[in-house]
Amino acid sequence: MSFEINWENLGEDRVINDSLKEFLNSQLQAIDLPSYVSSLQVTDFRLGEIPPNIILQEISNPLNEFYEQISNEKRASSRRREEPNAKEEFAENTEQVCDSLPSESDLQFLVEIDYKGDMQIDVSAELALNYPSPSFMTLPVKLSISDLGMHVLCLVAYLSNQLFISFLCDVADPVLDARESIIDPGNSIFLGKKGLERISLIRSIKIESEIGEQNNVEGSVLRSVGKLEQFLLEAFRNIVKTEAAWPSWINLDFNEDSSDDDHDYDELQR
Amino acid sequence: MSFRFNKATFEDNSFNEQIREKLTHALNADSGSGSQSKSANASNSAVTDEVKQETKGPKKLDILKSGITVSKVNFPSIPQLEILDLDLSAQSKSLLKGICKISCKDAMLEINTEIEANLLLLYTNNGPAFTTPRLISNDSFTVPITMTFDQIELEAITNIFVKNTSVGISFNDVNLDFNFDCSIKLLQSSIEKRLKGSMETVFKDVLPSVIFSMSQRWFTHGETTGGYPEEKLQQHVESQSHLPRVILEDSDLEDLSPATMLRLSTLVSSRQSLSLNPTAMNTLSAIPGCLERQNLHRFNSRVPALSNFYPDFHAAEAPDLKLLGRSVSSNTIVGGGYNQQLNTLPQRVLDERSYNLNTIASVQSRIYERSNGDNTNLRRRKIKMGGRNKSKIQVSKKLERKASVPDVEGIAEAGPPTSLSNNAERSEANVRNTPDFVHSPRPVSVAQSPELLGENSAFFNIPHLQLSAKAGANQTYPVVSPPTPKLNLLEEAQSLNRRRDLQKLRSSLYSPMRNSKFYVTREMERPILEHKGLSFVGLAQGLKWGSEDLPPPYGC
Repeated sequence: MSFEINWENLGEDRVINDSLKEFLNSQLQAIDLPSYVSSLQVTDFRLGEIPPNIILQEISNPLNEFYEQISNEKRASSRRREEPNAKEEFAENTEQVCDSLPSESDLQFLVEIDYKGDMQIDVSAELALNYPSPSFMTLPVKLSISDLGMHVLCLVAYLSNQLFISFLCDVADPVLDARESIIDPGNSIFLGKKGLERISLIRSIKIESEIGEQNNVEGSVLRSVGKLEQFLLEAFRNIVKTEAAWPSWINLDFNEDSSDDDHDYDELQR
Repeated sequence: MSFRFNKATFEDNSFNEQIREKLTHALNADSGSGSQSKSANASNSAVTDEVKQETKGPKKLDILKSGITVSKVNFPSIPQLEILDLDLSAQSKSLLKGICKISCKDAMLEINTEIEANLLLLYTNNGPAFTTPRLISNDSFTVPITMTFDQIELEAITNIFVKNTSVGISFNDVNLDFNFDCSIKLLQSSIEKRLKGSMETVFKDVLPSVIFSMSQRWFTHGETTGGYPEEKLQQHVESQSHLPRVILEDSDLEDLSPATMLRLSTLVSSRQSLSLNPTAMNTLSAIPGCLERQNLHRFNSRVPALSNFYPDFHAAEAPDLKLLGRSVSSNTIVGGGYNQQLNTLPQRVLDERSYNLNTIASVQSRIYERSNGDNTNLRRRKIKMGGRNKSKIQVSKKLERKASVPDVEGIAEAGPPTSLSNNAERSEANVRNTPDFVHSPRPVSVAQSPELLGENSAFFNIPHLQLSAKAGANQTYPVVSPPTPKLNLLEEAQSLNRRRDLQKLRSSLYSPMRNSKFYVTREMERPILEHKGLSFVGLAQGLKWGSEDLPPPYGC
């Protein structure tokens, strides 16, 4: 069963694109950048006209790993709480909670995501040399990212008010496989020792770089630096892979109060 | 202009001031010592060097009577730094390599100092008193001198290497021009001549080393974290460079076990004899425990992967690619036969719903473990969504061994060590028993060799001989037999299974030729997941042999 997405209303809508851009920018603001990178921002964002193809393959019970993770966490947190004042009530409570058993409402979607669209993101940043004075010398860098292609199986599990998202594996795709071999023909020579890739997730992506800025007539802008693009591609891929590809996952916790970190905030709300 | 300079610093004169202070500081700091001045100014090369060189000349004569003050620095136009080419990780050492053009116009610099004008002055301070004659007058006569450099124009092409925490720079093509004006006209021509003569060393030695040592500061602490004892650093570097590199001593070689040494020597001798056996046969190793480069792709193709688990679908889907891969691998003997394997799930598996979610998950976990080793952390980000606030993101790092595959853990812990040690024993025993075969592959024709070996009685006896040699005939598998208390019933059954596999393996691992024919295992249909440490032995044990490659050309 595949989802029907009303992409026509979405893709070229200026408002939606802009709000997405704003959202991305606000996220980027929150990141602590090293001192030599400044003013990182998304300058343009377009969803493109080609919709992703999302197919729901299966609805089942969540995998065991998710339950283990939750019970591990609970055990850890209950241990932490018991230490300062060991109340009997508390101990009883935690024992009950300790093993998170499957409940009726738990479920897990196996979703196949196939995207070979024309989404485009433009990012700009500045590399700064802070030496004699702050941002004494800067080197503007512009990147435009397009031709994103992925075809993956994605697990979305919901249990005990937490949502788990993890990319499970790539799905063979003739179009993407062909693209991949075009992207890095000589790659295996250098990466031969690496062997089998678990998942590449982002099967194809095009990064165009533009270094330097033309203020006056003189001087030149460096465009399409192949090595740089390759490097960024690998870095980007690796980040996504380590963060969200099985056995890693992203866990969204919808529980109202859970850990000590949020305690203050919760009190404020009340 | 590719690099953008902060105009404000130039406009409000702060840059000029800073340069002036630094120059003054640098020029006065290293008076006396003959070492090259490591001044603390980087960005404006031309200016600083001229000064340095200029001051050096007088310093040797020791006629400077006061400190040097830099009275004026001016950059009316902003220097330009243009990036011409960029290369990432050109070598393994340097992370970034760039070619830049530096140009700088109309800069101006003025320095003041006082020099001794009395040429007959005797320096009596250092000598012993009895050597100094009584002088009627030994007064010094200091004359202030002002030197002005203006219309400094520099244009240079530089190579810049950025390594982890430092910048290396080399100047290739330097064009430098300036007007020199000295308040004492007598000296002007001689100083100017000296300056221009020494410019080459400035750009070859002085500047690169200055920038290098300065750059270490930029990267490590961002801005100014003053007082890096640069000379000490320099000395440190120098002293380190004289230290001997790694030396292999005889004692290092003693650490290698006899079995390993035997294996190595067998490998070497097989190379010398040019025996073609290893390449002709569909085995991973002709010599136990040695994987040769031309077999690497076979080894890789047997690593548990999605393509191994659903091979039929793959075959049906892309026969062309496969043929291509095969021809490549059989033609090239050295190295090139490696083709990148894709770990993808065939679309047909999805469409026909013939997949097993747990299998996929565990295959992926295993590949992850294999590539990352056991001690890396797993990233499992937890993002709190409660209360609509984007609150702190917690990264929960768990030891992935605990979290991801606890169900195979028990087996895995018991597994690899035993199989490894068994293998070591066996190979030793094997070498002992059949020294001819293992040691020197004979240049017999390949077609005959099965019969020859079939008649070799020692070869049939391998299991018994080996066991009796080590642990006595009745005791079977002493290493495996004490079961770990962790094993539950199911796991015990599995480990029993494994023993049987081991038995098969033992015979199959040594040589593909037994009982007068090639031994191609077909018992196991799928790669198994029980062994965590995918050592060579663990792998060969569970996987198909020769199922993907062409069958051996003779009887099977």
